[in-house]
Order: sequence, then C-alpha cells, then structure tokens
Amino acid sequence: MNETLNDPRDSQWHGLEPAAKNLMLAFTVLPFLIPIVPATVLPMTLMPGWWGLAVTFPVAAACLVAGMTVGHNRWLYTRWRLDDDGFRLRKGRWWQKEVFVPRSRVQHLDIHNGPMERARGLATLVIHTAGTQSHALKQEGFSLETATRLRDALIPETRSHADAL
Amino acid sequence: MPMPFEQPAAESPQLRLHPLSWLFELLNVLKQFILPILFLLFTGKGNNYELWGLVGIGFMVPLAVARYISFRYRIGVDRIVIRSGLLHKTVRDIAFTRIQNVTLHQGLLHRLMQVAEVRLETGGGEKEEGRMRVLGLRQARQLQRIIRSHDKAVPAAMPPGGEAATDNETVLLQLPNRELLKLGVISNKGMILVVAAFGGAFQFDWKLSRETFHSAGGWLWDHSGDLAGNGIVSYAVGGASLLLAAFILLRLISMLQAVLHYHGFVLSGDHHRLSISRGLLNRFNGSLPRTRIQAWTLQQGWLQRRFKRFALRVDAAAGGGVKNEHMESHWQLAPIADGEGIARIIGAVMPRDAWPVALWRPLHPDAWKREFKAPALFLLIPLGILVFWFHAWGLLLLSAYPWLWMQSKLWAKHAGYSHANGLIAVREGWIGKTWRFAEVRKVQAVYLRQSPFDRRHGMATVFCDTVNAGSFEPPLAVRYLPFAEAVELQRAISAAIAE
Repeated sequence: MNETLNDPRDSQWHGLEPAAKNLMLAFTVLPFLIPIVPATVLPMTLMPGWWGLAVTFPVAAACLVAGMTVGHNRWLYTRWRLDDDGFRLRKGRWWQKEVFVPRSRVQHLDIHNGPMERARGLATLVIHTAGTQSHALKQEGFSLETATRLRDALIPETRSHADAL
Repeated sequence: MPMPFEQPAAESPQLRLHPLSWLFELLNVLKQFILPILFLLFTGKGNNYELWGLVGIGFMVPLAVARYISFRYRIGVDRIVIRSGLLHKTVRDIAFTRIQNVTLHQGLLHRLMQVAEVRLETGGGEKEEGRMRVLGLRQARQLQRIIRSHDKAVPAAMPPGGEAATDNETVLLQLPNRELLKLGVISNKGMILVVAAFGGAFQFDWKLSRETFHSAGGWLWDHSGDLAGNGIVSYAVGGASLLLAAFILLRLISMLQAVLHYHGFVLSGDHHRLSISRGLLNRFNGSLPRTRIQAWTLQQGWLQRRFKRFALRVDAAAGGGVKNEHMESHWQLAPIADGEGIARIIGAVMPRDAWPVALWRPLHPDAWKREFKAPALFLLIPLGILVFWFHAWGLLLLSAYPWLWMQSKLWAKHAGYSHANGLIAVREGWIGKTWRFAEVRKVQAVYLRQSPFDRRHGMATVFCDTVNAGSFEPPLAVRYLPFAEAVELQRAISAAIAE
C-alpha cells in the first residue's frame, strides 16, 4: 500500500550532476531568505538594545534550514531516464510527478548554459513539444556532455508531416 | 513531394479584388468610430474628442482605393501568390498544402453586395497569412474549392473508419430555429451581453454610471417611507416579480443572440474536413481539417439534461494569432444537439467503435472521500466565523455536510475513464456533466502525478497533454486512480504514442 512514485534509490533512474547541487541549493535558498528582513527590522526597532537579535537568529536559522532542505530534495528527487521511445523525468518529494515525452512528439530542443553553469560545466535542457503544458519542459542540472547526448538522442527523426498534429 | 518554385505563371492571370473592396477597407477603419457616433446621436452626450479621428477619413479614401489597386493575386497550380502594397511592396507565396483553413466572412453589407472576406490561415505564424477584403462571392467560393480540392491529393494520416473515401460532403448536423430557441433558453449569453453593454456604455460616459446609481439610490431613499407603511411583503412580491421579469428578458436576449449567431447552422464533413456555416446577419463559413482536431469537450448542464441536449466543441491546432477569435481555435461543433447527433459527429471523425464508450472504468473506491474532504475542511472556516457571530444559530451551517456527503458520493458514482479503441476519455460531474476525450495519438506528453494526499490514499493522477488545450476546458486528466492502475494506464498511453 501507499507506494511512492518517486524513489531516489531506484537505480534505473539517473540523478542530476553532483556539481549542480550547490547551484541548485543557492537558487532555492534565496527566496527562503526574504522573511529574514522583517524578522530583523521589526524586533530591532521594537525591542530595546540588541535583544532583537534573539528573534532574528532563530528565524534566520529556520529559513536557512528550510531552504537547504527543499533545495537538497529538489536536487535529489529530480531523476531522469532515456529509453528507446523517449525521455522520462521524475520530480518532487511531496508533490511528485513523472513526465513522459515520446521522441515522436519532440518538436525541437534547446541547450542553455549561463555563466554560472558554464563555470561548472553544467547545462539546462529544454524539450519543446506541441503540447499546451509541456510546450517547453525545462530541466537544469545536467552536465553539458549529458545534455548534448540527450539532445542528440531526442532529435526527432525525419517523419511525415501528418504525424502528431 | 518536390515543389518547383517557378510555376508556369503565364497561364494563370493576375486577379484583383472585387471593385467595391475599397468601400469595405474604409468601413473597417470606420468601425471604431461607429459606437461613439451612435452614442452621440442617441444620447446627445459623449466626448467630442473621440470623433476627431474622423478628420482622418479624408485621407483614408484615397489610401483605401490605392490598396485596392495595388492588391493582386494569382492562383497557381499548387500555390497562391499575393502581391500588395503601394510603396512597400509585399509578395506572399502560400502553398495550398500549408493552408489549414479558408474562411469566408460575410456581414450584412457583404451579403447585400454579394461579396465575402476571405482569410487564409496557415498553421504557424502570428496572424492569418492572407486576408482578402473582399472577393466576389463566386470567386471566393471558387478559391475555397480550389484550395480544398487540393488537399485531397495529400493522403490523410489515417482514413477515419478505414472506409472508402467519399468526396461528397455529408451533413452531420443542421439546427432548425426550434433548436436555436432551446439553445437560447439554456444559455446564459443574454446576461453576458447585458453586462458587456453596460460596461461599454459606462466606458464612453463615466458620468452615466454615477447618475444611474444616484437615481436608483434616490428612488430607494424616496420610497423608504412607504416601506414602513406598506409592509415588507408587498416589496418582496414586487422585488420577486422584477427579478422574474429580468430573468425572462435575459432569456429572450439569449434566444435572440442564439438565432442571430447560429441561424442556418450546418455542420458537414467530407473525407478531409469539417465545414461550418452559420449566422443570420453575419454569415460565417469556415472549415477545419480533420487532422487539426485535438481534444473534445462534451457538456451537459442541468437544463440541457431536461431537454436531452448536449454541447460539443473541440480544440483545434492553430496559429497563435487566431486565439483571440474564439470561434477559430476552439470550434463549437455542436452548440446544441441530441445524443444521436453527437454520436454522428464524433463517429465521423474518430476511429470506429471509439464513441460511445462501451465501458467506463470506475475510479478508486475512496475517490468520494477526496471530493468530500477538501470542501468539508474548508467549510470549517465560515462555520467558525458564524458560530462566533451568531452562536448556536451558526451551527445551522452543519446541515451543509450531509449535502456535501451525498454530492461527493454521487460525483464518484458518475466519474470514470476509458482507454480503448484508440481513445482516452474522462467523464466527471453530477449536476452538470462533462466528458473530455481525445484520440490517443493526439497526446503529446503523459504525466503521472501524486500529491501527499494521493499518497495517503494510494492514489495518483494521469494527465494527458494535448495541443492547444483551452484554459477554460476541463483537463484531460484521470484523478483519484488506484496507484497501480495509474502506473499501468500511463505505461499503456506512453506505449501507444511512442510507436
């Protein structure tokens, strides 16, 4: 009973690059740090002396831990698999999902890598389909080599126009 | 098929638009001034500066004439070449095979003059590739026929039902006026129109809205004395009859709108496309290639069930630019039809035996609990507030729970899905029912989703993504499936579309 869809121990699925972990952590933590601003300003103005910091530090620590946990899970629970027929991607710890994009439905593919990703040899793969929600499936955290390999493997074969649409 | 770029152009002559084209070109520009003028005529109010633009018309007439003179087109063997522009010349070369849709639009004036506006739509691009304002009706129909006859040369992706190709169109649905009146009774278009009209009027004259509310408020204030004298009962009766009158009026407007919009509605289909023509004053005549049809939505509200009628529409793969024209990216194949008519339309497009679905599979036996719990928990908030204000009286809200319980039970009983004969279908709803379905080969990606609540109950959701699924359409998603069955369904659909 109560099987879970996304299990990071499943060896048939690949995880993201270890090098991508810190980048992902940093970007996930950032929005979690926002509550620290009111948690600093309010106690410092309302409470005498430096006592306000007694509120700030626990809040900051909690935000940091929450952000790190979410970021870590985001990295750990993003898993992919390339099969003969297409690409599968699993995401999420609590709200889990698995997407399957068959090769026959791929319209085109993009690889992005910004300066931060380039410095670590990483890349973001974007898979475009004709679908509505899946019109651009974007996944960061691949090594440039893997992303290129995936792109080459998923490039749609030449086929008749009448397909798919 | 190799496309020779150079056509033997000499034999097909250059053609021009209808000589009255400049008039329609001009009217198109004038359209935006019509409302302010009417408003000014009828009320004697309004802001004069909105009419200043009319000064520009003096310049518009020669421009419109010039546009008529410079616009030429040539119909080649497999393409149409459109030349336009006086100083900045444009040559547009559209292969017939790329044209997804040829529509003829006719307003009242168009019909008096026996002309039509022709739009050529291709799949990609921001807006339609060719707009010919206007062609003589005969030429327009001829052009439509040429383009349509051409795509018969291209083999269809999958001949529906595998029958022998028949070129003659068969009528799938025809709506007599009696049906249109029923449609008016069912629909809420009247209310939408009235609200839109008020919004429009207030926009032109913001003082109007204040005056309206002032006079309404003033009337209430003046009569507040009577209220004490005459008693509340007579006012309640008056209010109720006023509401009833408003309701009847709105329904009448709905009926009028239905007749204006759908008069002479004919849906017909040949081997390659479905064609719709409709409209009393504004005549619309468009066609939709079968291959562009994506997901289908079938609906039956409470009133519709009283009349034993359904409404059927489809998403069509189309360019982004036509999205604002509601009619053309989501086609209302049957605004109103009985079960037989619906089955005839679906059967004409879908593979054989796909519809009606023979066996609807049920959801997880606990699906009703999920439908019950979320609103039940949410109801605790107003319950708390009411108890805080009215004390014991607030507990009356508890009577909503048996209703919630019954409605989620019934909801689960009517919900179901089916994956058979190349069709994936979902049905939901109890008071108002919805069916959403698509050919499996139209699915672009398959999602398997599991929320923490799903996990607690051992459930999951399978969602099929299709092209141009309207944001107001129900999703093609099977919710509350037993986990193992959901995985199985996702595998099956994946295998079917990956071949």
